[in-house]
Amino acid sequence: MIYWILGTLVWALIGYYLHKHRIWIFYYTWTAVGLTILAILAVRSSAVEYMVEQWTGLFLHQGLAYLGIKTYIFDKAPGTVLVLLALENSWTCIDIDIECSGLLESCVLLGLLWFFPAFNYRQRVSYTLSGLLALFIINLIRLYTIVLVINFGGRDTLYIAHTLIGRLVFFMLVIVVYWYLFTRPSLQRIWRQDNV
Amino acid sequence: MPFARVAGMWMIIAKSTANRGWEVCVRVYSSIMKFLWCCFLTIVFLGGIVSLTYASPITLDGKFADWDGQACMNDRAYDSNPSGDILKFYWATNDNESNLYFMIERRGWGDEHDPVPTIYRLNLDLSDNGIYHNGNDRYLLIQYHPFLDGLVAIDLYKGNGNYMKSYSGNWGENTPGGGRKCEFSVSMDDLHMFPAQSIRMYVESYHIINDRCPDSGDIQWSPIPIMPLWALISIFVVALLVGTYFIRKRMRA
Repeated sequence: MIYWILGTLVWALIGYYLHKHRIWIFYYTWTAVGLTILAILAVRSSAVEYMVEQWTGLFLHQGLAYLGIKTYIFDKAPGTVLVLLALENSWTCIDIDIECSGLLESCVLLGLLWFFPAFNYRQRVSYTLSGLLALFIINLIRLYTIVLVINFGGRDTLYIAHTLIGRLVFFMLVIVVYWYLFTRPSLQRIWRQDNV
Repeated sequence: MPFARVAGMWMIIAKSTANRGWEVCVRVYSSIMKFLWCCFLTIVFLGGIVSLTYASPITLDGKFADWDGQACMNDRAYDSNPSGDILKFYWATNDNESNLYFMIERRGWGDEHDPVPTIYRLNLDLSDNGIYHNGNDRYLLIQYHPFLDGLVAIDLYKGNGNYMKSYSGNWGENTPGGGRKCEFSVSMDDLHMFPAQSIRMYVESYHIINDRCPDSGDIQWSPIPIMPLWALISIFVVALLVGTYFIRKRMRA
């Protein structure tokens, strides 16, 4: 606990120093990376992680039920989804942990967003809400993709589905989100300044 | 003329009030946004400091409340004799541990406590290829003795039948306690597997009539589904190289 508070204080003080002296590139790098790391440490094994894993598992369970894929979820195993695969009539246990819940990516997004110098408070709040929601949905799409690939391709495709296809889908969609959250507003700002 | 003057005055007052009102609205709106911003920061940092762990860790103590709500597979009842009739097969891991935990529940004798020992065989396909008798696969023979104060004795074998290791402890319900459930664990180091590895498994009971859970097929499980470090580094390096290539190409153009 004491290390946590000290670490946060040191991070905030250095961030304040860089901000006051208007050293923007180092300010942004320091605060964004620092916040990402602090946020990851904060959500690890926390109520937030438990909640996100539980909700991801629940949405996956409900969505797969609509697709006719039988699944089970469990009260005290948040994010554990047991899927009956039609092809082999066997079971695959999918564990949604901090990595698969999209929490790490959400922390990175928070770090990048909250200290992006071009945004005001209104933009930060609205982009945070919409960005986190978008990442949650994208992560669900990734998980649906993984389960569908395993369901139709067999359990031997688990590694490829998880490591390659799922990540590819996720990162492609994340690029779209980053375009709308960072690139497009920044370009619009530049265009507006040029016009003025 | 006086009417026009009064109307003009009212217009000026209305405009100034509207401007002031607008300024007040902007100020209130800005304050609300700042407040929400502070709330975000507070929630994230205090949430992290509080850091609640909800799932209670599994402990091998012959008590089974910690298994409630954990991942499990149900099996049909009455497809074997009571002492060998598997009802539920649980599996779990604890945070920051490299052990696999399992629990088996049998139908037993219901209200009349079951003293009859049972042998279970937990088959582990570590190569995740659907074949269970390779040298790198494993199986556990679990002897459950409710009448010996819930003694559970485990022998670990390679898939080809070579003996590896034994464990034992009073990890089962004793006869007065019901004689239906037993729990046990096996270390990933002893299995020679790494945490992110996918495995397949099923459990059998050897009795007058054998039972199996699941009844057909098996369960595929990645105990701790974390991508290996080499894969993460590879993805990072590839992304960096691709990015550099495109940036250089664009700069040249």
